[in-house]
Amino acid sequence: MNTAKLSLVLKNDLTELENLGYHIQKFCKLHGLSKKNTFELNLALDEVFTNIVSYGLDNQKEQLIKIDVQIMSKNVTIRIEDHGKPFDPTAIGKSNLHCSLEDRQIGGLGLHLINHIMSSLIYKRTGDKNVLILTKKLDEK
Amino acid sequence: MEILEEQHSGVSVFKVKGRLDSKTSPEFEQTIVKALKDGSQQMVFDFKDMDYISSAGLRVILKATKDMKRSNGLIILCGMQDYVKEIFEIAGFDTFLSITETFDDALKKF
Repeated sequence: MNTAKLSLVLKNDLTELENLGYHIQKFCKLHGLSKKNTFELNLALDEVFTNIVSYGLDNQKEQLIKIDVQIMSKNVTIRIEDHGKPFDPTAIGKSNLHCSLEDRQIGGLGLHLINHIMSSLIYKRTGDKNVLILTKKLDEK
Repeated sequence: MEILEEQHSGVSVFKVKGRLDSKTSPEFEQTIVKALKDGSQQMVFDFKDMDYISSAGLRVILKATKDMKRSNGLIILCGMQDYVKEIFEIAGFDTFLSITETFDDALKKF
């Protein structure tokens, strides 16, 4: 069984998004993932990372966010750890995306995309850490 | 991200190149807000060279569409890669946005 792993440690700054995208793309290309899967993994990671940086952490202080991506056969597992406020994304209700333009709320969209793209989301609070584990079955190429 | 602004017989065209994420989308938003303020009522967002978009980018497009609707104008999106278009569909945006395959098709809508 083929296993590949990518580990990243990012600062709590949105400028890291480009860095994140660069490493994910390189990793996915190396392991033969489709453009669509590459984009989806990048998006899921981006949405979680942006949430942590924007809402979960004290932005005055530099803090580190740890990301592990593991591909095993046709499955990918993403693990994201941060030291921010407890936040369980699996406890948030689904946003209503089928209302008219006028009623559409700006926000809640990131989580909706994650729920759609990934097969499962598991949240754990371990000590002072938020641990989020996302899984997805990859497309056949 | 780079934004290239062009005018095509009264239509303001914004060509986005690169990534539209939470870091870069404020700049795109400011560009659109300015164009709206300057009275632009017809816009095309050409996403042919946009290789990435997150919910932050989608939010800017939603806000621009709402603002434009209030002034009875029109925004057309074009040139999206398939995987980008799929995100618009997952978000439910394809139900109220005007999306065309090519730039030429977009211009024909006005």
